[in-house]
Amino acid sequence: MTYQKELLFVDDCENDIELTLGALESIGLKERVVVARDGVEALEYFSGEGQFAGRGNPIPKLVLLDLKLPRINGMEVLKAIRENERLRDVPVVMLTSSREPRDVAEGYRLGINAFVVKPVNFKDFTDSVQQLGRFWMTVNEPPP
Amino acid sequence: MNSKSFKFRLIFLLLLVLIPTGMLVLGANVQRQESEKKMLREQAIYAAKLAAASQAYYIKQTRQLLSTMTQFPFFVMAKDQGLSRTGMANLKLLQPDFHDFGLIEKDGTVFCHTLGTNLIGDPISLAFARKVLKKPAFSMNELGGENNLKPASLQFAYPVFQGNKQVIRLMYASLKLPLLSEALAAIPVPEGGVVSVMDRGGHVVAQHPLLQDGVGKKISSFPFAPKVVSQEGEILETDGRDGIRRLYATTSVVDGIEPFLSVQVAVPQKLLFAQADARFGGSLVGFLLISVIVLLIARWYSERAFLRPVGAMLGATELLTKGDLTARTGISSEKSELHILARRFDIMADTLASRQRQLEQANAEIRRNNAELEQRVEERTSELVTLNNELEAFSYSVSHDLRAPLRHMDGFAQLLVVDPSMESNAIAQRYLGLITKSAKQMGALIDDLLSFSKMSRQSMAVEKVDMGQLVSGVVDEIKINEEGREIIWKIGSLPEVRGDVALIRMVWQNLLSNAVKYTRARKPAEIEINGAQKGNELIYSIKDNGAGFNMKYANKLFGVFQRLHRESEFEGTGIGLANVRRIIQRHGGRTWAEAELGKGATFFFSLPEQLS
Repeated sequence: MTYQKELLFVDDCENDIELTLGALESIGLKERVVVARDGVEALEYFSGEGQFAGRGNPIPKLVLLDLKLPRINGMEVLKAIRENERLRDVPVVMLTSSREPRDVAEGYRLGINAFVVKPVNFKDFTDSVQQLGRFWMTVNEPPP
Repeated sequence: MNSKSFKFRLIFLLLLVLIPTGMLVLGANVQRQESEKKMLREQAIYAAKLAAASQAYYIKQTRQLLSTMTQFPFFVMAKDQGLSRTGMANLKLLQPDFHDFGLIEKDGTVFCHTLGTNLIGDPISLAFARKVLKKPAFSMNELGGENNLKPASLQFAYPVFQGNKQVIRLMYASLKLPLLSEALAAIPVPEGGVVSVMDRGGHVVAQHPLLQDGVGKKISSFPFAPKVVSQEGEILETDGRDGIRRLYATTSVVDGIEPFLSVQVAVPQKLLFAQADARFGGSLVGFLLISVIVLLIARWYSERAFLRPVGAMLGATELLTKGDLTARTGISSEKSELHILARRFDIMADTLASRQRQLEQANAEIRRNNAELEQRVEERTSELVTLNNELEAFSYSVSHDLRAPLRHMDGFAQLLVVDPSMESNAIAQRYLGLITKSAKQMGALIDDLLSFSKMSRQSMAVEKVDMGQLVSGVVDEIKINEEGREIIWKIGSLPEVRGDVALIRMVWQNLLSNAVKYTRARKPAEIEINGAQKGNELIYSIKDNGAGFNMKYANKLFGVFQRLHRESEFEGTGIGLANVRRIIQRHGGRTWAEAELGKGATFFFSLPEQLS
């Protein structure tokens, strides 16, 4: 019933999407990435609505969540995930430009599994994304 | 009535004056009554004495007559009975007061008289004659007994001396008895009084007014007069035999040494003192009446002069102490100290009330000021909170949004560098384009951030703003920038408003460029601008037929860096509407929007008609 292999990547910035997908492509994860371009799309992914209609109710192996999103922001998406009985245990990593302590604290309070700031330097950015991909998609054992 | 009350004390004071006055009046009346009574008694004695004098006149006259006549021997010594009788008859003619004259021999027989031959019995009491012969002196017979001669007369006898001491005959004279009573008629006897003259045997000789019993009876048969004394000027007040209390004034008629007659004036005390008693009672009643009137007047006056103002003050003070500051005595005249007091009390209460009012007003003002102050503090605080929030959002975006384009520039530049086997120039071109776009975006972001921060601090210059002119200017600018787009502009009448021209211009620029931006996909695009007054607000609206949005997210619309569309759909920094809201708020207005996803949106903002 579930696609435990998928990585849900939620980001509204096309440039970031391209750079992130590029980084994940070189470690062979690109094919497993599903992109949602704002909070609403992310929630539609879980409920199998909108562009995700007909895909059932998948549970991803990892959610890479940007904080600042149009309409419904990252925190609200996180809250929706953690309040959902079925999705409560899904690993969520916040990947964002913000290094605001307020956001970090709020994120952990709402139950993120990691908080990663997008580095400005391209090599650092690629390293971060690849490390995240390797750890959460291959090393880490997801909840049953 | 409370014994401590003002009314009671006033009446007590009045009684304090009235009681001694009453006693004085009583005393004076008693004294007057006494003196009046004394006078009346003296009057009675005077009457008695006058009566005595009137009786004495007759006795004296008789004595003188007899004394004179006995000096003439031819008249009293004659042997011829007829001659003597004629002489006596002539004398009787000369003295009409007398009823009879005559001579008595020394052996006690009648020598002659003037009563004629028809006389039955003796012309004079022979017993009386013998008594006088034995003790020769001018004498008067008592009534009663042998003296029952008709008509009634009082008989006097005088001895006729021969030589020195030898009594040879008596001459007698019978005085007409009614004369004595007639003489009494002229005596001023007090009203209701009876004056009676008695001989030594106690027979009534004369009386006025005549009682039923009449003259000649013994006084003991009188219904009154228990006692007749011969002492001079005695007054006796006692009950008569008939039980009526009388004043008896008695005196005697003396001729020579012997009292011949006694006089009694008897007046019923009631009648005698009636006037004095009536006067006494009258003055007492008068005093009581005056006292009652005085009390009533005092009561009325005290009510008016004291009790009413005092009562009014009592009532007013009671109300005042209960906290009713409107209580007044209501006394306006200033007749007396009490009225003045009451009036001043009212003035005092007025002052108190006005002080209280002033105090309340002052308090109200303080409260109002405090409330105003609090409100101002609140406003300032909320302004500061807003400003602070915006500042936080600003720094947040600096750390968030400004990093993104930098990362993109570095990323795509690195891709250019790292992958030398870049197959086509097209890819390189694209990366360079992305880099340029990111740089531009960053520039725009910096500009917007600066304008937002500047706008937040800039002070406003309020003036009259011609909205129509302002809007058409902005629209013209946009038209130049959007050449080639098909846009239908519908601009309604826009009311004038007061505000900061530059800031309001910024509002229109933001809202109109948004409308243009989000109608990009429409051909033709329709943008409708309207304005109207509603209450004391001026409401302006910008309606477009663009992308619109879901009303679910309307609350995020005007937040800093809040966007409802992805950058890839509609470019933007998320600051424009935040700026709009900020400006409108500073003008004291509101911002809101209505929209339907895919059908368009209407943005509204209001400005107060009269900007303070």
